[in-house]
Amino acid sequence: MRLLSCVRWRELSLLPVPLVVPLAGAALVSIGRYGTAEPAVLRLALGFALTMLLGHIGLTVLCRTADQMLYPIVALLSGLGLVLVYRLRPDLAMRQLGWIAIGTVAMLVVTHVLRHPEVLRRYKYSAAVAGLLLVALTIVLGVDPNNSGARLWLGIGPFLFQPSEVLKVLLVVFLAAYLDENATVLTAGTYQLGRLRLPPLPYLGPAVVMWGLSLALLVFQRDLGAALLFFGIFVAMLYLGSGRTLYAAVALLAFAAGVTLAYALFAHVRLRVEIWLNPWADPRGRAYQIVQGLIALASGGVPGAGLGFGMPTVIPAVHTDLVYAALGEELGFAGALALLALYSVLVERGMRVALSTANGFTRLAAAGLTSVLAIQTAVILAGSVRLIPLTGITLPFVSYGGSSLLANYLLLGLLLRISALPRPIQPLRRTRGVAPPLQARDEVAVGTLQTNDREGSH
Amino acid sequence: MSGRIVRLTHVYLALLLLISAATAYWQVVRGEELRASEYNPRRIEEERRTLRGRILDRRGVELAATQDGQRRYAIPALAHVTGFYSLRYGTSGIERAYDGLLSGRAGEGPITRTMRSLLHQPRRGGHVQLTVDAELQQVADRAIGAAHGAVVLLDVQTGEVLVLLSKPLFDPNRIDAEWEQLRSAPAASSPQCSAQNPCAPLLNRATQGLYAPGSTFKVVTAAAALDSRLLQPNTPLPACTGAYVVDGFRILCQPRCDGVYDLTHALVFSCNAAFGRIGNMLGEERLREYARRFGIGTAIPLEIATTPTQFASGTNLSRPAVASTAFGQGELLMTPLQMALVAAAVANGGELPAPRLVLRTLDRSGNTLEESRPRTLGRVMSPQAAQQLTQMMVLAVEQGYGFQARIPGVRVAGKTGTAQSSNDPAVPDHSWFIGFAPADRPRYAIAVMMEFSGWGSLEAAPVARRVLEAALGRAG
Repeated sequence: MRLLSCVRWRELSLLPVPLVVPLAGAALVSIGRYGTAEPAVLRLALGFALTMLLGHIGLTVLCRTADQMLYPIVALLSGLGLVLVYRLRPDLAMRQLGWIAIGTVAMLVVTHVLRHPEVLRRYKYSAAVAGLLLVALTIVLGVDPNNSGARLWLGIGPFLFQPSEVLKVLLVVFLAAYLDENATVLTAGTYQLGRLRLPPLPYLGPAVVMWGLSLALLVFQRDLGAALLFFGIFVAMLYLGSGRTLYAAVALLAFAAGVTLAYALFAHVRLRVEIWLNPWADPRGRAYQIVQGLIALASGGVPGAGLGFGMPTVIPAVHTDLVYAALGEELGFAGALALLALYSVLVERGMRVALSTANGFTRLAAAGLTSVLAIQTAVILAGSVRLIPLTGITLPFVSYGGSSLLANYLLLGLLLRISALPRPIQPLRRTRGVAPPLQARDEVAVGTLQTNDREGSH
Repeated sequence: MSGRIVRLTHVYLALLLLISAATAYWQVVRGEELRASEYNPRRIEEERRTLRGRILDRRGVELAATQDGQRRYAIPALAHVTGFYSLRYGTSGIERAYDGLLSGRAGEGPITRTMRSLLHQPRRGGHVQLTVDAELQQVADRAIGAAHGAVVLLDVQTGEVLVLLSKPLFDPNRIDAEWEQLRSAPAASSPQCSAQNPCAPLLNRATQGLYAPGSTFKVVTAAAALDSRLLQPNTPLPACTGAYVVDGFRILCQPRCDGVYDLTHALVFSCNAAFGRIGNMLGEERLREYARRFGIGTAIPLEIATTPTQFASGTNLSRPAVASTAFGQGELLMTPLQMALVAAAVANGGELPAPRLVLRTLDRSGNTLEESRPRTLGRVMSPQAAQQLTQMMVLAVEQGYGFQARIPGVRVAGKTGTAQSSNDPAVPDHSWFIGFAPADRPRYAIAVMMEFSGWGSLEAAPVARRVLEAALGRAG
């Protein structure tokens, strides 16, 4: 009986879905493309199933009380990604599986090692310095293995890794610690400027540094995606930490000003924007990627062409940048909606983890880490459907890419560990910095979400 | 802080919702349009997978069919009729006009299309059966030989086109390989064109080539004079003495006007001066009206592309211009198809038959979808006038310049034409013949035109005879 009570039943009951998806998906791809199920299909499906079993058992042993929905969702996304990589670049499928396995192990290590995530708070400046060093290193030593025009990678021996993926986690850790410590000052504001209350200027320092960092990424590395992601994280966390919409608005305006300046000064930024605004001006040349992406989406229609029956491979860098277009073509609008629903649940679930923790730092960290996933997903997907210029960042857990998978599994490990922290018996009232009307609303929101949660966890 | 977290969560969920709306926009709202985009490589891929339907001649001979993804054309002489089909260069002829049916796109509803795409089946097209006779087409091709030009043979009652030949030919089987060469050929015909040095090979001269009709147009003028009761076949005309002079413009008594004392002999000996005079007796309005009734001045409706013919470039012509028009020069520009219709109208008792190239369309299993029916383009002249004109055209073959078109045992009606092709007298004339047979119970009307070949009586008439003879022999 005691053994039975140790099983993460809910997680276990959800895992059959991500178990079946890679097997069925890869089999369909193989039959669609080659007329028969290749042996690789079985290898991939078996490997993935073992990895998932490892993740599940590992979590049961190492972090039993962690949230039980996050891992099945991520496993399903990874499985779907594996199928798509097998579809688009069969030669890279085994490597993708390898990275999923490495990511799973990393996730387990993080949940085990960081049993007290609050300790990270102490390393906030180390995190900031490490992050800045990584950016500096990439600017100086970055390489561009794919000739994409952006030197976003660092070479370590035979491996290439993308520092921006690690950087996003470091950024969240730093901001969570920094904002939690200075919450009072930031929320209250001490300087009076007309009707505006401003925080003391030294506290704006990190804001300006982050703003500059984002723009530096944009300008020196031509990495609009990472710039948008970092800046989004910054704005979201500033809002969470200070509760002042005004800061977020000012930061957004500053970013807009910076982008406008970059547009005026740099030809490659202008080019990106022009391709975005009018891709049909050069559909065979510079706008080829986005135009082919949109046509792929259109070709899918609602039901989709069927796995292996579309032509998504005409899109350059489809397995990294435009995996959404490939999915839209072969699985249709139906499949795209399912994917969006998965990300919605993932984001909602991550935010629940944030809501369920008492500690200010872990709460900010959990919300920040979830924001990373949400913003990164939104930036690449919005680019894929031409709501914003197309960027080269990955679709979390789905796109091909080792650094991305590893970083996102690390992030997941952190989130799972935070979710396993002891919960407050009842919603704690924060006495620091929250204005009375907001507090009242807080209680309602927390109450509702937690009630749902309690129902589900039995 | 939890209120902020909830609000931020809502922002993220709203973003994902916005993305799903944008996805729906591209996949559903703009889907159809983008799928049809010229930048969509799937279109070509689907085209490649399509089992395109066959094109058959009137007796069921396979003219075009797809084997192993390759479009194959069996009868080179029908190149301009079937047209070509190329993923790179598009389509022409019947391949273009019936692309929807042949490719299976037409008549495929959204449900069939969805089912087909769900089952990953290739599209299958329907078939087209033409009115042309592959055998006769090849006879015409051999008869006209190396010359540039065209032959059109019509069934006078039904309007069915049995031969529609344009020379030089091109090979639709090798369209991709020879495209550059075909496109770089001279676009306009000249006396320098030859079998070795073909000019405008892709042009369907039968339906789109424009030429001065020369004396073959005298049939139109004669029809106007007879039907409007201006003249009877035996109404005396003033004798030709050297030339007919109108406002200082001299129309010589050529090619032969001696002994011409009525309309019949003016046509038989093709006297320019007499027809110039008749033209001015009719006046521009009346001549133009009869030309219009024959279909001149518009594009003849046909399943494949035709070019509008021309009576004159303007209105209010001078008297010399009307005279020139009446004997077949002036600013007249005719297609061989148009001139075949002139002969067909006379043969059909004055009623102009609508030409048609398609006998029936068939679905992919070979069941008839639609059968085309004979139609008329209107009455040109009274049956009596047509009868009189027929007699005159019989005499033109039996006693006049059309002698080379005589067929033993069959009465042939016809008119030759030798059209001035350039202001330079050294340039050879275009050689024409129009006619029909048998004259007493007309079945087939023909037009033969040969570029820069000289006398119609010596070049075009014998070609017409061979084709008519073959057609009558085949009909039994």
